[in-house]
Amino acid sequence: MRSIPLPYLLLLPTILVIGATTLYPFFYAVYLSLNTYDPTLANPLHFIGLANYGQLLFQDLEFWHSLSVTVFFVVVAVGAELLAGIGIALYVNRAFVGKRFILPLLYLPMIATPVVVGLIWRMLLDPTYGIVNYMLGLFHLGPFLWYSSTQAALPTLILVDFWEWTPFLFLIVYSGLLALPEEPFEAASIDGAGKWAAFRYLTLPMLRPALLVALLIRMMDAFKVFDIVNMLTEGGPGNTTNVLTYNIYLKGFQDFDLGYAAAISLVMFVIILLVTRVLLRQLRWQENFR
Amino acid sequence: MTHATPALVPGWPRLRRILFYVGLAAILLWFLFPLLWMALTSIKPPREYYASPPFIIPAQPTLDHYVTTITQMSVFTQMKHSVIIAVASTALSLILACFAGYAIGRFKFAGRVDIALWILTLRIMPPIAMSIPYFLLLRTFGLIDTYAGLSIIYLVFNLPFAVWMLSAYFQDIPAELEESAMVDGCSRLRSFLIITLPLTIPGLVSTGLFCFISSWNEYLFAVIFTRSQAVTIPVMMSEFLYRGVEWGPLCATAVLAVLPVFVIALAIQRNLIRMMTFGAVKG
Repeated sequence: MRSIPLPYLLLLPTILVIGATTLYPFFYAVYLSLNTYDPTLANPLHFIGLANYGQLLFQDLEFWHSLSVTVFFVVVAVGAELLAGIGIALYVNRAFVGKRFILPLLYLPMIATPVVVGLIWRMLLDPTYGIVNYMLGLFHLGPFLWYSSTQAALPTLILVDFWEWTPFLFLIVYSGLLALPEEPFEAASIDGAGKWAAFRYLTLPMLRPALLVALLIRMMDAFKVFDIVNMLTEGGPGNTTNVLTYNIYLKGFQDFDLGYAAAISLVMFVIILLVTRVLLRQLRWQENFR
Repeated sequence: MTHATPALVPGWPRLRRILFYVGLAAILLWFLFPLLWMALTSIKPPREYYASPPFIIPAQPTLDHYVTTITQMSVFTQMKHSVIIAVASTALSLILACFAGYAIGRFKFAGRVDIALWILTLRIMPPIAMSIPYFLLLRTFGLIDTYAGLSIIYLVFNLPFAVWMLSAYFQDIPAELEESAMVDGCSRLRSFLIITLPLTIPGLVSTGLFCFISSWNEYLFAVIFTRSQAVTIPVMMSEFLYRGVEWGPLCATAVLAVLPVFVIALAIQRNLIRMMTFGAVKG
């Protein structure tokens, strides 16, 4: 054993576990995606080469629909969360009474179990008994079918995601603001720079690394959204909220078309990989290691 | 006070100060009202939450729903499943990550940064993509609907996370401390155990608690890989919804489900941002 250098020896158990829980299943998924799967047969796998991918990319309108729903969800939700997160962080970045107790409360939505989040909103937005429709009714609006109408379902999911994850963006931007150095701001105000100029040319560039991290993590997670979809819309009505993860879930675990589901999931993985690579390169995360 | 944190100075016009607090109240209301509503509904009798106009404050608060969910719906059984799975997965991750994190945080060796980054990027893999091969593998090994099955699967996100966090914590402990102990005749293992490890305990605790939260909240794998024997709290609640369980017991269960994670999150709030950004934002 002494022949293996100590650091590699220490890493070995982790590498083995990662190999067993991630690498092997990954290559297994690649293999599955080249097969059809028929659970009724004794030997359910049947090799068909790249046919799944061919069908997926050139014939499966549901896949493209699903991808566009997901991209819309990610872009609108994360964009709104980013703006609101910056706005709230700037807003509370001053001394006020009870600050120490109030700010931690703002973190609660992102920590809450996502299934519970879906549940709460389903209750709030209930067409008949929900408090939201009642309140709007006071102004002679609605009643709205928040999660059960084709027009509203996707925006409603975005709203719920916005509620759940704006605190994350807020938290990152806010701690970024706290870490800003004072000198550049003093110099800028001596030079007569206005508030907006200071924000645009000092605050924003200095927050860039923190914002990139936030965007990277949030986009990755929003792309995989499942829990609130399952709790509120189940991909519907029709297929209006059939996001990628839900689409694969249905194909895999309701239709048991595991080969095809594996193919979609790998395409999804490649898309996430391409997007995150761009952001990761900007980040230079390895600088964490001196 | 710096420019970046302007004080709400007494010189501020009174109106502006009032407006600030109004805005703050609106922000708080938006983020907290849904949670508050859940808590309030859990203590309202059905005629109050199915009333129009709705009762905001319960007129006749009751703990009936908690009794229902505990006695008839055996919420504690599912909580036990959740705890066992989350603790097992967290413990395994921490033990493995102690070795690996120490290697990455302490030693300079060929491929160090590459291995660290590679471990991090494993998190990019969408869980649904893993769930398909997992399903077949778990079935082969008879691990569907078992504690072991889900605990092992949760390593897929807990382990990379723990390795990444712990290597940063180990790196923050000066190597000189260990080296001086080794000069005094300690073995490397002993100096690690009596010097470095105790200093890393706050980091270990935060990392462990965050792994616990992630496992506790996880739904996708849990709903696919459990049937009855290892059903976790989130799966139980989604089943309640499909079975048309009433709001009261549903909310009582939800309160019991989020309470542990809220307590933990408030306990580690200073480290929360570091945890949620993989150490990229120190907070």
